[in-house]
Amino acid sequence: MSEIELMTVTLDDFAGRAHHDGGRSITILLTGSADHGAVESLENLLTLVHERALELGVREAVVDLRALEFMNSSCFKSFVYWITQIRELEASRRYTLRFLSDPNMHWQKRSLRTLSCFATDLVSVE
Amino acid sequence: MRSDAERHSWLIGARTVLDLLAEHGTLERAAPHLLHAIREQPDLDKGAEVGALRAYIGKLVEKSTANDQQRFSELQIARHIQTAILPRDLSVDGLEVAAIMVPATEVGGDYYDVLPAHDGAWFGIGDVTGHGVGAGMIMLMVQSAVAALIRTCNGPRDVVIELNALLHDNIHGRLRERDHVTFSLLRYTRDGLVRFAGAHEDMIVWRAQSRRCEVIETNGLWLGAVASVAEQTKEEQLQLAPGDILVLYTDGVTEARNAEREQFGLDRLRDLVVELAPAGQPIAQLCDAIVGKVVRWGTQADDISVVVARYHGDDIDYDIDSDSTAVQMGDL
Repeated sequence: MSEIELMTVTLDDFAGRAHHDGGRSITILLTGSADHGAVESLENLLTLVHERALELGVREAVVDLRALEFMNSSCFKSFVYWITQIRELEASRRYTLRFLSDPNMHWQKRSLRTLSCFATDLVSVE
Repeated sequence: MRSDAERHSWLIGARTVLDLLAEHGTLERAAPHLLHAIREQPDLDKGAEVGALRAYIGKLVEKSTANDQQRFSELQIARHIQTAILPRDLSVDGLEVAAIMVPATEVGGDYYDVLPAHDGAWFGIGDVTGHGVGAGMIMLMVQSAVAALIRTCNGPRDVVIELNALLHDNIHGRLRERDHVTFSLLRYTRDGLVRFAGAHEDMIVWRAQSRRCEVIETNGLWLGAVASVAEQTKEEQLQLAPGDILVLYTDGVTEARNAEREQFGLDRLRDLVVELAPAGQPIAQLCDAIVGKVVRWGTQADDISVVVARYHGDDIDYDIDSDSTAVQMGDL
């Protein structure tokens, strides 16, 4: 199955790319540094991914943060909102979120630990 | 030669561009270039259109300046509220306490508080996501709610659960916003026991005996995002021994970046505490030194808050009033 590009965001210091694997999964790759300047772009990216995930009936969204140096709390707000939206769906339409992280980055360990607590049945961190 | 219709359509286009520039706050910088471009347009130079456009630019600049002034005034008010509500008296039995908040220009929504109790005190520290007046307003809600809840709740876990319910109702139900609050609440008693709940930054405890730092995780959920955090909120505890120092801080400390975009980071903060704590200097000096180092690290983009407390033990009658200091600093 061929990949389908869903959206690309490129800022000076931050980039995001979302693609559908053609099957039951969407992957988001985030790189650079997500601070105040990236809040709106990230919000748009996650909103679109959520809409497309429901249209395509995917079972999982993979969020690859391994090349992301930093994300501030305002950007994490978009992830919290995304998780609450998935939680509010009826069970048959829910999909899971799998975060790929770099354990050497302290901020990832700390924030993803908290983020996963919002929906332990839906969110996993690797 | 352009027709009247073409000229009319060009002018409408020019006005639209001007409106967009004004909306994004870049009109003043772009105005000279725009006027030059307008003069270069054929058929427009001699007509009344250039004058009309110039007047239009003038009006937009005036409006934009008024909007900036209004926004600046709002931020001034938010900044005033944020610092005015900070505790003035940090006297706590058995502890020497100091605290500093350096607000960012945009008001970052930091919060800290020290609330006395009959056998010790409550310490709260947190940060509202987002910036500006809204963040300052939510911070004020947190302060007021915590000050009220500690009078009736049994311990930090209960307060955190109730605070979350209140914030969720207000932020989502009334303000229709998506913000949340990172928040930890600590209940200190005279015997050195500290019970705590709520997810904020890791805490640092410098141990006088080993002269090393322990980094203590704070667990749970960020507040205000979901209706209930009861299931995920646990109460944990730590024990202070005489001479131990507890350091609380907000993300403006660890996430401050220098010119090379390197963060100040938790390791650097911990090393700084290890370096400075053994000197036994007044705790206010330690607090000053930490904040000073962070402020000098790079350009400030977020509020910076630090609360430091040294435990003296519960069998010594210290005159702690003279040592306890609360400072709000606009610039260091």
